[in-house]
Amino acid sequence: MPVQCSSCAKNRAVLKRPKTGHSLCKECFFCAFEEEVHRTIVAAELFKPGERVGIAASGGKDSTVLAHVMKVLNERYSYGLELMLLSVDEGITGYRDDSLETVKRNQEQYELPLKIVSYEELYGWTMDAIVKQVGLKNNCTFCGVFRRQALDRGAIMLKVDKICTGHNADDVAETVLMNILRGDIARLRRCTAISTSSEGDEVVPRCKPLKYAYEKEIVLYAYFKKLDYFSTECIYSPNAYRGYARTFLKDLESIRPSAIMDVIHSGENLSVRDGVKMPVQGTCSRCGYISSQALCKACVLLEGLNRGLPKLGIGKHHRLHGKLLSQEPLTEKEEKKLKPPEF
Amino acid sequence: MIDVLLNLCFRVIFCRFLKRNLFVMCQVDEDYGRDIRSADFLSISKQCVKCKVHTPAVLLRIVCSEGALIGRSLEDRHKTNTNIRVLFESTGFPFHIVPLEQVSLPTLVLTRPHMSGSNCASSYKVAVGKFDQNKSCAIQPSCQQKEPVDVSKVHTVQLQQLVTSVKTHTAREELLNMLRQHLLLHMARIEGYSKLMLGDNCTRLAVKLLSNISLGRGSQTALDTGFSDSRYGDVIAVRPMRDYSAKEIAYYNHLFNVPYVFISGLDSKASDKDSIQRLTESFVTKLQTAFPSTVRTIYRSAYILHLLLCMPQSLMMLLCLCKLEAVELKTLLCYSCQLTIKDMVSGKGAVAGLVFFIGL
Repeated sequence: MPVQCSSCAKNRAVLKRPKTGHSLCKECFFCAFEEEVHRTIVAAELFKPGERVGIAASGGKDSTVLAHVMKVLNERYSYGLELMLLSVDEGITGYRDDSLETVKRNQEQYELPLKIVSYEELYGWTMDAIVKQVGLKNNCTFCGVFRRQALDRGAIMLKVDKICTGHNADDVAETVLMNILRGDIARLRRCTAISTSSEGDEVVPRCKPLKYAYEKEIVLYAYFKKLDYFSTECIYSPNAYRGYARTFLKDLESIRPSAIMDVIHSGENLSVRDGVKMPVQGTCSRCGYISSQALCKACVLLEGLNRGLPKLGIGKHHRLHGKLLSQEPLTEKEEKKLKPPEF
Repeated sequence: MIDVLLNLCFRVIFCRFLKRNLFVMCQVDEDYGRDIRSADFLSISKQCVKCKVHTPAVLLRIVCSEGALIGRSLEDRHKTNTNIRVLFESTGFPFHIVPLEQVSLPTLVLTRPHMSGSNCASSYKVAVGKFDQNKSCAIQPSCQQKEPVDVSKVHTVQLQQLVTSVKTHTAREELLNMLRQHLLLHMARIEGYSKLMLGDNCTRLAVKLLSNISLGRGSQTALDTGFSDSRYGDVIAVRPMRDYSAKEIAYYNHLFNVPYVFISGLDSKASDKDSIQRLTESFVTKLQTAFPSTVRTIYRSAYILHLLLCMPQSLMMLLCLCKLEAVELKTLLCYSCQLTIKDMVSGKGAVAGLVFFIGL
């Protein structure tokens, strides 16, 4: 028995929305999805007319859908934005080189300028070389920290006013759960914010227009719109801690579909008691990037890689910052702790 | 407990933490922000420093008997109650065994604090007081050792109807927790007790924090998992066992032959995917085996969080006793209770059951 679309009641329903459970036809689903993103952008006042906006594009489903929806809404509602694509090449053979081809095709399809920054040119290390030294545990820390800085540096090169990333509701909910599991209270306060503040010269403010869009709906949108995207998981990510939070969230969603929004709602309403020590934002003494310590995390990680001590930067290391800054050699005991494990 | 300790040393350390918590408990009023780590240890033979009259560890055992919910027969319930009674009699403290059918909720689900400046919690007490006067209450004034109150079949059927009207296990467990909390509070108030000691341990609180986040209760999680909970006004709920993990308590009970009675509840023998609470418990215990610091880290996160500051015009939702977040003013229920009520099947019996229990 064919089910009619619950919105227009004219066409046959082709899908059931994971968020609401409504049966919708293709056109109504596109409309509902795009309207929700538009309402998110307007309610949070993410953009001003005339701004240059960099869309962080990796070639994956989230950033492809983001680029498509931003282009559509920019034209439909006359946001007056100048859009451009910004991509980061981490140097992962068999994964990133393929997804960058997708980004280049997106550039032609959406007719947007594209800038690619690579770890090789910024730091002198590719992820393949990093994983050879670090191993398959903790490598996501290196990639995440380096990518954040790389995006900011790319944005400064492109002279954009704002970066928008394709983080979806599932990502935000996973981050809330992960920060609770790791006891990272400082990040817990910031992670549900839809846009970051714009303090500091080296930092470009970022926002997440897809913050309330379910990952399943993004996949459905990309599939029905026949968008060109790259759908393989990163080859170095299977051991990441985030995987546990992701599995838990998927199970929660199977019990109660609104659980993803419930977790985000809880995260937005959490508050920290007075008197708890919070990190203060400053600048890195070596590269000038924002940092709450004397040296930013990227500099510490790079120092560790260059010295052959990959565990420097994983775990507590702020006591060594003074020594690193003044280029003093580390003691034998300290070096032994930071070397990679030997089998 | 990674260190291998002698039985006696384990007992000394275990009791030292408990005595410290009991001492702090007497001092707890509205302000519980004292640094409990610097509290002096109190000998159990001294008088309470606050009231200077009674012995410091006054324990009242209240057990909510929920046999009706899992379909146990009256004989089974009486048998369990007898076992519990024997256990409590051996301690020499006064006790009450109250069936869950005795629970009653105030007439108002929502109340606005009076402009005279009395706080939200005292309005709840006024609402409950008025409700109790209107409804005939079967609870007699306290005596040392009470017989369990015989429940009428009508009450049992009403309770069963209410609980079975809820479609999902998650909402059912949430509803049960709320009813249990109200009943405990009601009993403590009738008997005139100022503190309600709850036996939540570290593991259970870590699971509770994570499941509160998953259910949309992030704003109240600080009260639900903190050492003291003063939202009720006159009765303060405290959790003196929150520093102990479930494993430590199990070791203690085993080493020192502490008797206990196991009562199966709604979530006994449930599969992992039955409810959010059960899934969270399974997730935390599995993660704990791979990362042994998980429970302590989550517990520490709970300690750092606190309730969002109460705005003067904020409303208190009397079903789960939380401060309403500003956006939910239009509806009478907080975000999470909306989800619980949404899971109820609409039907004559279900609605009648809820109406009975919220006294509308």
